Order: sequence, then structure tokens, then C-alpha cells
Amino acid sequence: MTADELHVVVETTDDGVVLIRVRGSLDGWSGSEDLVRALDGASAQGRRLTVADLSQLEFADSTGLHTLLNAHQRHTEAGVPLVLAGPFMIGVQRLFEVSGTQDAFRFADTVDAALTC
Amino acid sequence: MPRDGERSARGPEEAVGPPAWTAPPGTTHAPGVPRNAAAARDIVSRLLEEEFCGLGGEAPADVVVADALLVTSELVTNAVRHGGGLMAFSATITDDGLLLTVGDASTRAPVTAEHTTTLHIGGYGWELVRRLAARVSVTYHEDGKNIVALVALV
Repeated sequence: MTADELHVVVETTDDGVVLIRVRGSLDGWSGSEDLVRALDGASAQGRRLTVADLSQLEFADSTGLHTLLNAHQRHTEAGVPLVLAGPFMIGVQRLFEVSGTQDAFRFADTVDAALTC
Repeated sequence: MPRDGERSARGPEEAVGPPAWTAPPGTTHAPGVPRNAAAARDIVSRLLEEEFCGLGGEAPADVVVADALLVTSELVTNAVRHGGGLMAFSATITDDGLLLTVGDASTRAPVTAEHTTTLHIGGYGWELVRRLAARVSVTYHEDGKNIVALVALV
């Protein structure tokens, strides 16, 4: 897998949390369909929580942000919390900061912290 | 189960809004320019690395590099998404910082979404460029435009 692709793995924990692990880069070319499908699927399952592990995400730009914002809105409408778990790499951190979307999402410092949300 | 007429005719797919942009397959671009945003980011990464590595001076902070890559990605994405294609790309380091030049095939001005609420979905790209670049200029010509963005490296 090259750094300009996106790799997505989905697990469901024993206590019903959908954990979506993301690796690589998230931009308009990296093929976000798997991530969109995973996030949409998670919001539709009616579980107690979805955690998106972004700690291995090396880069994301505004197209990636758009995907995450859509997912957040879909989760809100479905009544399922979505937590974005870090620790975020600097590029991802900056995207949230500079776009002013830190209040648009629920964040956790680590996946472990997210799972206890 | 709601009956017809008891709720809005719009289903959840329509309520969320359009999906994020993805590059159409077989995106055309001028020969010699990066084939996608990642390739352009790669050029900028290597440029920054080569420039500051081995000079014994201060390398730019990680956040500065991150910002440079974000601007690069937004400019290239916009060229393809709104500008009819990436026609030119260059990255140079000057005394004032990293100079990024992106040429596209459209004489349409860069797009910023109208914000009526503080939270909106979509339209962040150009705004990110304007926030992160010390200077941005747009020059129009017959077949498109060139956008030059200066990203400070200190």
C-alpha cells in the first residue's frame, strides 16, 4: 500500500462498538469509498458507538474533512455517537485546527479512551 | 414505521448532503505535472527536506511542513475539481518561503462556499489556502489561471 492510498479495517468489539481503523492518506484520489461505506454502515447498525481510529492517518485535506463531517452528521441523525480517536499526526491535527472544526466532532486522545465513551 | 406524509419526503441520504469529492477516473492532466495531490505533496516534501537537510540550519517545524502540504493538496485538488485540470505545478523555495504555483484550465475564480452558519459541510479548500498562505495571487490568462501561494517557512 502506498502512502497515497487509504486502507480501512472494520472491527466490532465485544461490547458492540464499531471500530474503524484508517491508515494512509485521505484526499480526493485515495479512494475513500471504503471509508464512506464503513462509516455509513456503522451509523446504520444501531450500535452504541462508532470509533474512527485516525492515529495512523498520515494526511487528510478538505475532501477528507468533508467525508468525516458527512459521517458525523449521519451518525447524529442515527443517534449513534461517533468519536474520532487519536493521537493525530500533525497534518490531521492541523486540518481540524485550521478549518475550525474542532467543535464539530467528538475527539478522544486514544482508541482506548474512545472505547470508554 | 412512519406513514407517508408523516415525515419529510427527504430520506437520510438527502439530509446529509453531497458526498465528498473524489477524482474522476482517468483524470487528465498536462504532461509533466503531478498526477494527483499525493504526487504534488511528495514533490513539496522532498523539496523541503532537501533544502533544509544538511545545511546545519533550522529545519522548518513539523507544523510548517504540514501546512505546506495542506496548501499543496488544496490547490491541486481545486485545479482538478473546479479548474478543469492541473495544467502546471511548481514549488520553489525563496527568501520569503515556499512558493507554490498551480495552473488550471478555467478562467473561473476560486470557489468559496457561502457560510450561513458556523458549521457547514464542504467548501473548505480555498479558505484553508487563504488562511495558511502568507500571500495568494490569481492571474488569469486566455486558457485558464495561475494561482501562486506563498507559504512562510518560519
